[in-house]
Amino acid sequence: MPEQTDRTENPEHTLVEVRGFRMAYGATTVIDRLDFEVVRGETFGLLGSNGSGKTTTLRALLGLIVPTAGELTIGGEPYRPGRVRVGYLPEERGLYKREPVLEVMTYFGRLKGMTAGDADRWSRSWLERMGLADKARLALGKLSGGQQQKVQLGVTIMDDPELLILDEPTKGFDPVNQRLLMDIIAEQQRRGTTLVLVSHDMAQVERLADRVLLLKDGVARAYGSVADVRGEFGGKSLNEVFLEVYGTVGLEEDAA
Amino acid sequence: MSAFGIVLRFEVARALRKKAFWIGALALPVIIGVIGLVQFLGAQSAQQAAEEQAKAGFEFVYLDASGVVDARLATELGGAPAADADSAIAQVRSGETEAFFDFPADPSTQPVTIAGRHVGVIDDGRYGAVATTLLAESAKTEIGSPELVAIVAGGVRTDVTTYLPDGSVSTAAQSLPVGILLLALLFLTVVLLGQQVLIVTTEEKENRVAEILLTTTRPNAVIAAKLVALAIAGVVQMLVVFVPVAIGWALFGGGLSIAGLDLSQVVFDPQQILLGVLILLGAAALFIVTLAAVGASAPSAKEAGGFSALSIILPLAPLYAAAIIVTQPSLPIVRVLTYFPFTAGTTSLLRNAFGTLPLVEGLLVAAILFVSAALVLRIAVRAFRRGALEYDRMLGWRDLLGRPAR
Repeated sequence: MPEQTDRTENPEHTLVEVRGFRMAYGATTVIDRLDFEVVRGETFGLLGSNGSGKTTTLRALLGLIVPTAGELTIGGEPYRPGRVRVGYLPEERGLYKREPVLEVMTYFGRLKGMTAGDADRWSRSWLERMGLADKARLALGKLSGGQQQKVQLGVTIMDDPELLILDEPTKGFDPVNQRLLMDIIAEQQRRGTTLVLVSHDMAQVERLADRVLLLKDGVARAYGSVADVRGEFGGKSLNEVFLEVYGTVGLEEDAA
Repeated sequence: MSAFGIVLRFEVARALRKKAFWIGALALPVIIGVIGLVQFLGAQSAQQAAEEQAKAGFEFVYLDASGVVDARLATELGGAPAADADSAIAQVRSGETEAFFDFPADPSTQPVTIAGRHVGVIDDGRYGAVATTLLAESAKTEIGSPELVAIVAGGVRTDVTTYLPDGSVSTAAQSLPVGILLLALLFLTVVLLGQQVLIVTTEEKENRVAEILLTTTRPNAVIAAKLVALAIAGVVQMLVVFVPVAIGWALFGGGLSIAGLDLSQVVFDPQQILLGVLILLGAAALFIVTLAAVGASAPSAKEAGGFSALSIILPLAPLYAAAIIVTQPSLPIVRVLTYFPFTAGTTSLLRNAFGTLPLVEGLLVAAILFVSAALVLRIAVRAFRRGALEYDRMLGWRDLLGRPAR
């Protein structure tokens, strides 16, 4: 088990804290025991293959599912909508397709605590930036897939979140929107937003993240700064680290 | 504005913006109007056709064993006495005459035998019409007195006043229309809102928006606001249906009558109305939250449809026992239907309409309905929260009743 740096000597430095997290569905254990922290202002990469428990961890952190054991906090307390400004782009994503674009964005802005005026102004500004100003009154479903993704991105960041959680952000994004997403991430990083990036695109995470945690079979196999993790594995790239962690076990099983 | 208010405003606007909403609201009165018009025109047409058939001139011969047929009337209608049945039938078959009527000794118990030339399925009906008319008019002539004829024809009206054990006048009959109206409102709720509830509670999941929604606001606010929005939409739909009726009532008031019922005599019984409204609201609330729970548990509206059928059938089921509910309210089966939450609404509203639901019992039923609705609402909220992430399967009882989410 990799050493997990304890930063609680300066709790205000830590925005996200996960202690003793365990998640089991009947006899199936998805997360065995997980401990990690996300420091304010950093970009944290949560890595793993499909089914490794990344999305489960996020959902538990956001209160969408109840953990079997452990404590997951944002800002020192279990997450409740409205306590901390969180922008969440889930892996399964969508919005109200039959409603006008501007109305959907304003609706979510108001739910996030913005005033009607602020939500409306921000939404119009975003649509202008995305070249969708003329589509504001159209039903969201009438936009192309790429345009809907832009609207969804806008909804995610519209209230200037303190914590931005992006679960497989580039999934379903065309190359143009992937570029846009990278720009948004860079912009948020410059603003000092704390980012949690969930992905199995190692190269992308290696470029963006300050620290990472690699999950396999519900347990952390690597945890720390990108440089430290790479150093633990002989200076390999994160992609090679991933292959070593996932590929080696398969070979051991074959040998047995 | 609170999250509840924000969601409520958004959901009401969504509901009122849907074409299907207005089609559903306007279709019902239009369909009722069209059916009524068709029925009216059809009845007029049928009556006209029957009258024309009765007046249609054609030659016929007849035998009268009853002695009732008036010879003069028969001649006016084109008839002549026949020699015997065999020769009369031969005449019809050869075309010498168009019809032969053989009136039996006792027309009140024996049929009139008719032989006629075929002129078409509809037009062949003229033979029976003429034979019946000849017999009826002959009988009236025999009676002689117009008053006696009117009595025999059933043209007698009655004016009834009944008294309760305490000597006061009973208004049960006059307040029946109001009670039936409340029952009709419950059925309208089931018909108009049933499918919409399912759609409203499954669309977040189908649109994949549930995760964002639940991390932005609490599920209690979302589901409560959705259901209230649906209720508001339902009220709007009912206003669209009933406002024209109310305007007609206000303008034509005492002159309105439906199927012989003089609506100008309708009595508005405060106790009946209060009980009826409470029961209606409780039953409607229970129906809506039950469907909401079913919808929130299912991955899609389509898959929820099968399970929701029971929620729709149960409120309507007591209609099949309407006769015993109305006539024998103390029977055990009626008691069960009165207190079982999912059949209580219809059963109690029926009993309330016919004046067989005591105040205390009615209030108890209303309480049962509201408490049941509150309990089911809790399940619906839990289903909404737990079902938000289940895109492929229906939630089970363990999911709904097990360890609660944060």
